[in-house]
Formats: sequence, structure tokens, C-alpha cells
Amino acid sequence: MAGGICIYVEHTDGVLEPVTSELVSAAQALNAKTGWPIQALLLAEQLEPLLLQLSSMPFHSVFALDTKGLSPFAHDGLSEAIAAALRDIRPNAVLIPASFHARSLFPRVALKLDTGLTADCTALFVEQQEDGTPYIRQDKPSFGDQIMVSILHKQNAVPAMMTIRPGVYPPCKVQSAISQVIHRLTQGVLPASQITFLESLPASSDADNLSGAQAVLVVGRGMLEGERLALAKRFAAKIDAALAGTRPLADEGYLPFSRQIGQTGCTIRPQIYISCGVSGAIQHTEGIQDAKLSIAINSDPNAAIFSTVQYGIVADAGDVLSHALKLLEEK
Amino acid sequence: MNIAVCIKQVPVSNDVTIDPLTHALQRESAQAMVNPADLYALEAAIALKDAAGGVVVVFTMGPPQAEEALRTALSMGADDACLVTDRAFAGADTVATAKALARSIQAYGPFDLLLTGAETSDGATGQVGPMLAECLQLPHVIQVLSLTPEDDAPLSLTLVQKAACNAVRLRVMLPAVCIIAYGANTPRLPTLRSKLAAKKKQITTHTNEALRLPAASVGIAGSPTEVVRSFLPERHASASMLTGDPASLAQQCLTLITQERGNR
Repeated sequence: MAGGICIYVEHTDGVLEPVTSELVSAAQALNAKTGWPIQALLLAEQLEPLLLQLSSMPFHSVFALDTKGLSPFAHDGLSEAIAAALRDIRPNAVLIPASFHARSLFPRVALKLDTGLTADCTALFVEQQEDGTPYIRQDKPSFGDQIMVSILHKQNAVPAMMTIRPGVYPPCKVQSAISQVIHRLTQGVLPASQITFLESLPASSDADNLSGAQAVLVVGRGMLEGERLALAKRFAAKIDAALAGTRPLADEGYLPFSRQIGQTGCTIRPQIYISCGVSGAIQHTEGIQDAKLSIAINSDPNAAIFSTVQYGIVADAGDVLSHALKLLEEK
Repeated sequence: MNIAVCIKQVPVSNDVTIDPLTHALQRESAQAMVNPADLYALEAAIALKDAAGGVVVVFTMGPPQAEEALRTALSMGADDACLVTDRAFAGADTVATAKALARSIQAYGPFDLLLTGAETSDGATGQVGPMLAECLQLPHVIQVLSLTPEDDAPLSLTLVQKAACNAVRLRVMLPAVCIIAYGANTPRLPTLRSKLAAKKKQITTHTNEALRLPAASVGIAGSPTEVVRSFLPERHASASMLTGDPASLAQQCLTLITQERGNR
């Protein structure tokens, strides 16, 4: 059982989060070089529907813990339950989605297990110690996205725990069923929590419009000069897209924080994503997932955004938008 | 209510280059500021103190010049400040940072509430807040938009947590760590008077002589992870680049949108 690559499985309303499949891809690449088996760690109040979904994925083992009675918001108790499970499982590495809840839970888990946590990895590589033991090198951006760094866990920091951004790895290929063992973990009484869930609050209409929007137009710092922001507003209205912005626009008061996309703002899944004057710093691009059509307009040909969208346009966004408005108004 | 706020001094600009010979990181900007996200935590603490009474103490771990960040916090309305500084703490990752801050807070005195910002502009892991809670064996909540103390014993408060694009209300027993959401409030500006008063304030300094953390728990030695290399990202624009004059580009854009909508 010990010595695997354990993937923390996230789910919403009984459905696995798509990032689970992506982490499996990452684990498969590591498994190919190390032979470490691929494992799932699932904590949920309703296990069966999730176990069913996991059964068609290439996990060698699934470790399941029933957390009935422990609120998903009780991160003090939940992190303790996760740490206890990982102490039983003893994996070599833990792959974690860089998500809202996991980002809060796993720093505590890392400390409980006396190991470290690398945040927001964008690439993983298997390397070898002098004695041939494999270890994982984790690459991630730093200082915004100015540079990349390679990070290692020291030899005594086991398991190597790392969070990976959604969208970095492709979904895993569907394979013919492999024999999968399910281990139901029992922890007796679940850990206590000092946190109580009281109620869900209705979203502000702003945030609501953004999260439900089929099309989103995102403006970045490059749109603050002259008429560009006004053009963007008109264009968004014309194509029935919600208007959102990167953090500098919210910081400077051009848009409310409820319209800010990115690591410290909202994460959205529109069908159509168009960005204007957005450089593509990772703290923003993380906020957009699974868009079917993504277009970026930026006057800088080296902007990082062009590595994250399907279509790129190197031009003054103001020019392009004013022509687009003319064409739309002609109709 | 006694409130501790942990802040970090960060470079004003994230512009860095890699020295082509030594491969060492060079920061372009020597200028420093309070990490922007921490301003929201400071404001939340000071506003709570204004409403409920108590004391706000600001902590930061850093080199001696991090004292400037503490002065800014004092000028916003914090009552006292503590600089956690020692050569031995240099090179700390999030684990070693949280341990040093936690020890300093424990040494300083009992607090009902500990606040931090959501993430730093340079490291951006968002880990230190939750790790601080773990070191102090306290509950924690991230992405907190607002806090309301309750008139109960034992002390508790209700808070609103930002979740993806909506929000939830939670109750947490104190003492607790709350990580304040970016943009949660409007940080107050210092006045000339408050800046002058801040300049004169006595700041507590905690070195490892005071904190007595074992060498294996601090700085580089106390960091389970290490950065082994810094390098410039390769940029391959993987997007299909559209070409033409602005009018043609506009048309191509509109066509892509119409096609995608037609596909539904």
C-alpha cells in the first residue's frame, strides 16, 4: 500500500471535479517513470456515486473516508481527517488540485505530516538521487509569472505534496478497466471542529451574472488608456457578454471586486472568453477554466496570455473593438 | 478583543531578471511596500477594534528593513508592532515562516483573533495563514469578507466567507485565524499625524535568541521544500495567431463567436 502517488479527489454535488482526471494524467506520467501506483483519496458524505465514477478511472487503489457529520467548511477537522488518512496510506507523493478548498486544507495537512507543500505547479519531472531513488522536481511560476522556479522536497519531507492548477494537464485517456481495490478507511469518531456552517448567502447580482455568463469579456491593464474601457463595455453589451477584469482594474476602482477574475477573485467557466489588454499573469488565467472558445487581444506579441488561449491577436484592442462595433452596428 | 495581524513586506515591482552568469535572481526594484492583500487584513482588524475595543498588534517576519512595513501598519491604526528578525530565519519557506510567526505570537501574549492577508504578491501561495492556525492549533477560515463578534461566552464570531462566486455565513469559536479576502474592505489611509506618531512608536523585536526555535526549524534548514533553480519561462505562443488589419481581425473575431454560438 505504501509508496504510491495519491490524488486528492474533489467533488461538487456528487460529481467529480474535472481536475481529477487531469491529475490522473499527471500521475500517469510520474508512474511511467517510477512505477509508483496511482491512488485516490476520497472524503465525502455520500461515497457511493463518487466511487462509481472513480471505478472507470485508472486508479490502482481508492481510499474512501465517510465524513458524514463533518461540514466541508470545517477545515480544522477535515485537515486532521485527511492527515490521518495519509498517515495510513503512506504515499510517496500527493497531488492536489489548486482549488479553493484544497488551498486552505493542505497547508495544515503538510504541517501535520511534517512535510512541505508546493503551490500551483505547472510541470512535474521525475529525477533520480545518486542511489537511483526517484524524486519529483516541481516547476512553478514565481513573482507573478516573471520567472519559473524548480522546487524539490528534501529527502526527509515525505510525502512530497504539491498543488496543481486546473487546466495544466489534459484529462486522462479513458482506458479499459484495470483492477481497482477500494479501501474504506475508518477513523472512529471524526475530528471535532470549531467551525459551524450557518447558511448560504444569495450571490450579489453582479457575481451571479458573471458565474452564469455564457460569454465573458475580460479587460486588463492595457485597456485603461483613453476610450478603450468604454469601447469594451459597449462591445460586451453588443455581444451579450459579461464584463469582467483583472485585479489591477478592481484595485484601481474601475470594476468592483465581484467582477475580478483570478486567484483572488472569481473562477468562472464561460463558453466564450475574450480578453483585451490582459498580459496573462497566472493569477488571472487560473480564474478561467474550460472555455470552448478563447481569444486574446494584446499588443505585446510576447504576452503570456498567448500560451493560454486558442486564438491570439497581436493588435491594439481598442482598434479591433471599434472595428468590431462598427461591423455589429451595420447589421 | 486582542487582535494579531501578520503582514509581509514585499517588493513594489515583481520585475526580476536572472543573471546570465550566476543564474541568481535579481530584483529590479529595491523599493518595498506592505503586501497589498495585507492592507485588507489590517483594515479589518482596526475596524473591529474601533467597534469592539481592544488592541491590534502587527507582526512581520523579515530583514531589519521590514520595520518600515510595521510603521505603515501603525500609521493606519495598529497599536503595537513586533519585528521577527534573525539571520537564521532567512530563506524560510512557508513552513518555517509560519513556525517563526507562531512562536513570536505565543511569546507576545494571548490573542482572541489572528488575521492575515489572502496571499503575497511575490510568493502567492496563500499557505502561511492556514499554517499559522495549524502551529497554534486554532481553527481557520480563508476568504473572509466580513467579521461580526458575538456577545457570547465562550467567544465566537460569525463571518461571511467568499466562495467561488457566492458567499456563506459561518460561525467560528475564538481564538481563531481569519484570512481576509482581497478587496474585502476599503483600507484607511494614514494621516500626517498618525504617520508621525508611528515613527515614534517603540517596536518589539523578536530574534531567535528570544524565540528559541531549534536550528532545524528555522530558515533554510527548517524548510521542507527548497528552490533549486530559477529560470526564465519559455514562451511559446500556442495560440493560433490571427493576422490582418484591425478590420479583418475584428471580422475574424466575430465569425469565431458566431460559429461557437451556432455550435450549441
